[in-house]
Amino acid sequence: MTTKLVLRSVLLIGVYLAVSMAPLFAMLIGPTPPGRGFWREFSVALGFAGLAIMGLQFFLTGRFRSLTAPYGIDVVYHFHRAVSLIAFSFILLHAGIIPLAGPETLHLLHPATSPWWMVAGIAGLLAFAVVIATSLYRKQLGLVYERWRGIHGTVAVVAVALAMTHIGGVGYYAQGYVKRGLWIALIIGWVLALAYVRLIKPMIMLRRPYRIEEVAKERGRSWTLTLRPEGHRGMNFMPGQFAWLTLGASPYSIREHPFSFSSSAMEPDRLRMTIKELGDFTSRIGEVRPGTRAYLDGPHGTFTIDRHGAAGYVFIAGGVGITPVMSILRTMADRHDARPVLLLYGSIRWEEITFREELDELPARLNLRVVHVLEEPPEGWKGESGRITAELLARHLPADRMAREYFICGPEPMQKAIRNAMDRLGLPMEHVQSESFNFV
Amino acid sequence: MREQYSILLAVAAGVLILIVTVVFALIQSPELLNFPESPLVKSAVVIPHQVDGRRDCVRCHGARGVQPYPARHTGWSNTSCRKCHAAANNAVQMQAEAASAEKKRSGQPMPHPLPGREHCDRCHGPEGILPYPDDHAGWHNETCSRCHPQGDVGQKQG
Repeated sequence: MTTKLVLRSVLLIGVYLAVSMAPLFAMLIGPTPPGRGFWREFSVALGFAGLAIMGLQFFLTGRFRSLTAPYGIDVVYHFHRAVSLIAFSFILLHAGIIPLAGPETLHLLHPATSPWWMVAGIAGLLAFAVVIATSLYRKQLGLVYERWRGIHGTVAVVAVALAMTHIGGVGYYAQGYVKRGLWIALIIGWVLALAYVRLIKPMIMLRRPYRIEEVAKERGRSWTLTLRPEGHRGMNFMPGQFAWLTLGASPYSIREHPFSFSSSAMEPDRLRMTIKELGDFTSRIGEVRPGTRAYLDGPHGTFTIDRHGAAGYVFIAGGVGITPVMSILRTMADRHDARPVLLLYGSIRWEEITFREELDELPARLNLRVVHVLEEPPEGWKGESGRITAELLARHLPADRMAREYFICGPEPMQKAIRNAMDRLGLPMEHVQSESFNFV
Repeated sequence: MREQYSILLAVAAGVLILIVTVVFALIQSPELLNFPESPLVKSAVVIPHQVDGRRDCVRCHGARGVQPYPARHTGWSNTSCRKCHAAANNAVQMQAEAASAEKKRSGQPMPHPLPGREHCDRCHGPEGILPYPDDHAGWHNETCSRCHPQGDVGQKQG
C-alpha cells in the first residue's frame, strides 16, 4: 500500500470515530441538562453512540470507492457486519439499563401510558433486531439473497428513522443549536448517502449500459458473459478487480451480484465475467440470452497486481477462484510482462478445469508455469493430486519465493488452509493477498 | 484473515466508543467518582472565621502561632487544612462555631495517662465502663484529645 493510501486509511478511521462519537461530545456543549445518575446517563450515551454507528452504515455499504480503496471493499463489508453487532449491543444495553437504573421509567413501557416517542423507540429496537437476525440467519430462515437485501435495506432505514424519532421525542439532550445542528447534519448525511446509493448511482449506471454479447460455456459448470458498452468506452479496471452485475432493464433493481472480471484489463470495451453455477442466481446464468441489457457497479477490490508490485508472483486458485487470476494472467500477457509467474490451480477433476486449454497456451506468451492439482485425478495421472498442502507448496515454490507476492483465491476453507501452510513454510505473510466475500 | 482484521478494527472502535460513553456518563453524573468522606472530615472543627485573605493558616495555627494546631498536625501544609475543616458559611454560624470551639477547648481533662490507651471508646464508648455523653455519638478516638487535654495525672494518681 502506498503512503498516500495509508494516510488516507488512517484519516478515514479518524473521521469514522469522530462522527460516531460526535453526539456524545455535542451533548456536553452549550446548555446541558443536569445528570440523572451514572447508569441512566451511561445508557443514554450508549443509545446515542449505537444510533450514530448505525447511521454510518449507510456510508460503509454505499460502495464509495474513495472510502473503500485503502482497505478493499471486502474488509469494509466485514467491518460493517462486525460493527453492526457492536452497535446493536449498545442499543440493547441502552434499552435494558434504563428501567434497571430507574424503575420509575417502567410506566413508559405500559401500553396504556406509553408516549409516542417510546413506541417509536421500541419499534426501532425491534426493527434493528430484524435487520440483525435476518443477516445472521439468512440461510436458516430460508431467505434468498435478493429478498434478504430488500428486507435489509428497507428495515434498516425504518429502524434509524424510528430511533431518531425516539431521540427527538425524548428531547432531553436535543436542546440548543449545537445539539440540534449536529443531529440535523447527521440526518442530512445519512439521507444524502442513501440518495446517492439508491438514486444517483443507478442514474449514472443507467447512462452507462452494457449489452450481453455472448454467453459461452466453460469447463467446470461455468459460463463467461461478454459485455459490450453501449454509448460509452466501457470500464477501466485493474486486473483482479470485480464489479456488481445487474441484468435486466433497470439498474434500480436490487438483483445485483458481485463477479470478478476474467478478461484482460487492456480491453475495457470488451468485458468478460466468468460465473460458476453455485447459488440462486448463478444456477440460471447459462439461460441469459445475448442482447440482454446489463449494468455494472465497479470496479472494486484490491486483489490486483497493480497495487502489489513485486519481482514475481505466485497465484494459488481453487475452482472458480481462477477468474480474477485469469484476468491478471491475460493482462500480463497483453502487457508483455516478463516477470515470472507460478500458478497452482486446484480442481476436482481434469475435465472440470476452467480455462484449461488457454492455460496450456499462455506460457507461450508469458513467463508462466502452471501446476494443476486434482482432487480426483484420472487413471495414469502423473501430476499433483489431493489438496494444496505445505509439502506440495515446498515442492513447487521457486528459489526466489521470499521476494514474490502471493495471491490466493478460492473457497474460504481453502484460503485458510493455504495460509496455514504458507505460515508453516515461513513465507512472508505480509505479501499474501486474498479477498473474502462470505458476508451473509 | 482479512475478515479477522475487520473484526479486530470493529472491536477496537467499539471499545473506544464505549470508553467515551463511560466518560460522558461520569461527567454528567460523577457520583461514582465521589469516594466516601473520612469520618474525620465530618468531625473536624469548622473554621470559625472568614477564610478569604487568610490562606496562610500556619501563620496563626502553626506550632508557634496564637492558636496552634494539635501536635499530630505537625508538618501538614496550608493546602491540607480545608480538606477536613470546612469554613463557616455566615456570621451566625461563625459565632456558634467559635462558642463551640471555646467550649470544646474547655473539655474535661483526662484523669489518666494517654500512652497505651489510644482506644478511648473501649472504656468510654456506649458500652464502656464510663460512657461518653450522648452528644459524642459517632466521634472517634482521634478526636477525643482535641477537647480533652491530658490533666495533672501525677496528682490524681497520688
